[in-house]
Amino acid sequence: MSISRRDAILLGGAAALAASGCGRVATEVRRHKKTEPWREPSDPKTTRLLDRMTFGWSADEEATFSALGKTAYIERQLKADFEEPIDLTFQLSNLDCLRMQAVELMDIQRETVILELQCAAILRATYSPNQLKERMVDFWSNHFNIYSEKKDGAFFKSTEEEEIIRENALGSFHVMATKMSKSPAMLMYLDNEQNVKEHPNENYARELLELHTLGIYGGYTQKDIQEVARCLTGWKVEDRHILSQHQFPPVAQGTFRFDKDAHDDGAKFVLGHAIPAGGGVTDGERVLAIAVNHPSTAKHLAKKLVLFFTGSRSESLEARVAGAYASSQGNITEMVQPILLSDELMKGEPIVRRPFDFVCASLRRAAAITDGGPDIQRYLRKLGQPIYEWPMPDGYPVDQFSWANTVLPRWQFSYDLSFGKIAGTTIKAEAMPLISKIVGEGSGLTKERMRLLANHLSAPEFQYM
Amino acid sequence: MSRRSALKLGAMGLVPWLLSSSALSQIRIDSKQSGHTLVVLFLRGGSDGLNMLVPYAEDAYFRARPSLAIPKPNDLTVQEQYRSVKINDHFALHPSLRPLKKWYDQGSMALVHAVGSQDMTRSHFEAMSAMERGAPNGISGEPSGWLARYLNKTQSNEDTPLRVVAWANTMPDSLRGAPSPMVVQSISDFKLDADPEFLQMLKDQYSTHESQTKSLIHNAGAQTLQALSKIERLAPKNYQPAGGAVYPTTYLGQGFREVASLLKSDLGLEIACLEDTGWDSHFAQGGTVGIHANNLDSVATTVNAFLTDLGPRTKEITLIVMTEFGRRVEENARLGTDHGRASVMMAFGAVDGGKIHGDWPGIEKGQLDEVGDLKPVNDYRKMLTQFLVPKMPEIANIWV
Repeated sequence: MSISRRDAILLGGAAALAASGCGRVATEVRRHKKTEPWREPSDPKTTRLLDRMTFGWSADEEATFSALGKTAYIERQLKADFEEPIDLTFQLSNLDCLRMQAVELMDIQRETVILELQCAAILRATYSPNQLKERMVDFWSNHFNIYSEKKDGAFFKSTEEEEIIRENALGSFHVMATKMSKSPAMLMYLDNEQNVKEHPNENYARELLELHTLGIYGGYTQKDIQEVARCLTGWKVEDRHILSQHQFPPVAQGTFRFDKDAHDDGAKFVLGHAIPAGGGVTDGERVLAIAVNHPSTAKHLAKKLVLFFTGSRSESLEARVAGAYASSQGNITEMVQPILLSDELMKGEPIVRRPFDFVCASLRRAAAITDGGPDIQRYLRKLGQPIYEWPMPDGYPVDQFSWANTVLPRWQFSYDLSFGKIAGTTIKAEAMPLISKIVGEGSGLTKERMRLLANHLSAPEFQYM
Repeated sequence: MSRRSALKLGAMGLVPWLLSSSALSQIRIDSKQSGHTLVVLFLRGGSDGLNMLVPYAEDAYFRARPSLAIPKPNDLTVQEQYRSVKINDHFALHPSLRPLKKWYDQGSMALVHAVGSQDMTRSHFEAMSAMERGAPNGISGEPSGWLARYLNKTQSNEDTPLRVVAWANTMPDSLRGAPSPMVVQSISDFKLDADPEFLQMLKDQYSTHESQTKSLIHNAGAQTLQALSKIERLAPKNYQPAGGAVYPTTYLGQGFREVASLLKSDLGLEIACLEDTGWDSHFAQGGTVGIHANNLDSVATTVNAFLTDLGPRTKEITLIVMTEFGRRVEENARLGTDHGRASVMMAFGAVDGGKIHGDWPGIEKGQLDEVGDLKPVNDYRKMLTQFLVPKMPEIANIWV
C-alpha cells in the first residue's frame, strides 16, 4: 500500500490532481454510465428501510433491493460483499491518504490530507454498494472519534480508518476496540503518549471506559480509571526509525510502541480483577479484554446502535442487541441484524438527517456525479459537519436539537446542487424530476426540472429519514 | 461532556418527533435565563494589563517602566489628557479608557487585575488555547471550547439559527464543538443566494400555521425565514444606533454595531464572539500615546458606543473583554514589553460593577513570579464564573 517518500515527491502532480479533483478520469467514467431516470420510491416501507440502512434511498438502490428481495438484500449488506464499482476504486486510488503511511503523509500539507480524507468519506458514502458497511464506518468512526486538527491526527487517521474501523465495521467489536487501543491516532488524540509512570495521564483511560466500552453509568469508579491509566502507562507512538539486521521487523516510526521504562509495573486492580505485578504490556491488553467482555459494554453499544438506526430508545430491542453481543463475543453483524428487522426501525418516528447524511442522500437521490472535492466539502463545513473535525471524543451528536438549526445551509446546498453551482459536482438532466405541466422547451424545460429538484431536496420531508 | 451527552440522550428518549411548542418548552434540558446575551471580545496577542489598570500607588511600577509608565492621576507635570484616570487610591485607568469611566461609576463595569491561566509557557498559542477551551493550561487534553460546552448543555427547542454568531475569519476555538455556530465577516452573510421563486417555495413549505403542530425542522425553517427577512429589513448598513452612539468605522466597531442591531431585533442571539488583533507589544508599545494606547482607544470608543446604543438593554447583556496573558512588569530595551502571565479582564452590563474584583498580588520584588511577572492569582475561569453565573448558571459546570 505504501510508497516511498521519493515516489511521493515524483507523484506530486498526481497528488495535486487528487487534491483538486479527486480523479477526473473517474468522474468521466461515471458521466458516461447509464443513469436511472428520476422516479418516486415505490413504497414507504422500502424507503424507510433503505433510508436507514444506506446513505439515502436511490433509484439504483431500490433496483438492487427489488432484484434480491428483502432477506437476501439485508444478508448481502451485512456481509458487505457487493463488488465496488471501478469508477469508485479509480477515484479512491488517486488519494495519497489511502496509499501512504502516516509518516510519509507528513510531507504533504495537513489541509490537503484532511481534504483527501473527507473526499474518501463522501465518495464511499455516496457510491459504495456496500452501504450498510459505510453507515457502520460512520458510526464507528464517531464512536472512536479523533480530531484531525489535534496533534498529528490528520496523518494517522487514515491508517486507523482503513485498518481498524473499515476492517471490523461489521466484524468483531472485540478486535476493533483492542486494535484501537494501540492505534497511534487514538493514543495521540487522547494523550496516552504522555501517560507515564511518574505522571499518569487519565484521559485515554477515562474515555476508554466512558465512551468506547462500558458507558458513563457502566459501573466503574474514579479508582478504576486511575488503575486503568496505570495499566496503560508506556503505551506510546514510536518516534524512532531503526533498521537493524538484528531486529525484524524493523522499528517503524509512527507505529505502536510499548515503552517499558515508562510503564508502572506494580500490581493493579481493575473492575474487580487483580492484575499482578510485572505484566508489562499485557496489563493494558488485559484491561481491554476485561472491558470488551463487561456486561455494561454490551448495553452501552446496544443503546447507541438502536439509537443510531431507530432514533429512539427501546429497552426490549436494546436487551436483544446486548444479548446478541454477549452470545457472539461482540459480533457486530449479530447486533445490527435484529435492529434492521425490528418494528422499532420500521414504525418509529422519522430521524433528522445529519448534515453528512443529508449531503450524501441528496447526491444519491439525484444520481449526482461528484468528485467529493473542496467545493462540496465547503458545504459540509457550513452545515457544521466536516468529517473528522469534531473536536470531542464523543463524536458528532446524533440528537435532533443539534442539527435542526442548519436549515439555511441545507436550502443553499439544495439550490446550488440542483442548479449546477457546485464545482466538481453535476447532475444529468434525465436524473431530475419529471415535469407534468408544459413549460416550454429546451433550457426552460431543464430549468424547471432543476427547480423541482431543489424543491424536493429542501423540503422539510427530505430533512428526515 | 459526559453529563451533557447523558442528559441529551436521556431527554431524547422522551421527545417524540412532533410536539406542540408548549409541550416542548416544558422539557427544556437545562434552566436557561432567557433574554440575556453574552458578548465576548478577545484581545489577541496579550494586552498589557499593567498599563490598562495602572497600580499607580506602587513605586515599583514607575521604576520598572521608565519610558512606558502612565502618569499618576494627580501628576501635574503632564496635561490632564495624559494622566491616568483614578479608580481608587491604588489603581487608575489608562487615559485611552477614559470613555469607560462613566460606566464604572454607574455600576455597569467591573474590573479584575492579575487574571490569567495556569499556562506556564507564555506562548500565545498555548495560552489562547487554554483560555478558549476553558482549560487550566495549553497542554490539557480537552479539545472543545468553553462556550461550545455551555451551548451544548443548554440546548433547547427555542434556539434560533442566530443563537451563536462569531465575527471572525475562522471559528474561534471557544466555539469548537458547538451546535451550528455561525461564523461571519458581517451579519449580511446570513442570506440565501437563490432566485425569488425558490424563496417563495420555501415560504410555502415552512411557514407555520398556528393550528398545526410542526416538526423541529418546520420550526427551524420558519424561524430561519423570519430571521432572513428581519435581517434583510434590518439592512445592517442602514442601522441607526440609539442615544447618539457613534461606532468607529473599524472592523471591531462595525462588528459591535451588528451585535447591537441583532440584539435589538430579538433574533435569539445568546452568544456573540468578536476578536481584535495587534496586542503583542514587544516593540514600541508606547505609554499614554502609541500603539497600545490606540488599541485601547479603539476598544473604549467601541464599547462606549455599544453600551450607549443599547441604553436600558445594557442590563440584558454581559460583555467580557479578555486577553490570553499580560506583559512582563519591566519594559524591554525596545520600548515594549515581553510576554507575561496575568492581565486585566473587563466585564460590562449585567455584572456586579463599580468595583475591582479579585485579589492583587502586588508588583514589588518578592511579589512577582520567578520570571518577573505579575502572578495570575485570579484564575480566569473563576472570574468568568463569577461574572456570568447570575445570568448563565450552567457556566459553573463547564470547566475542565
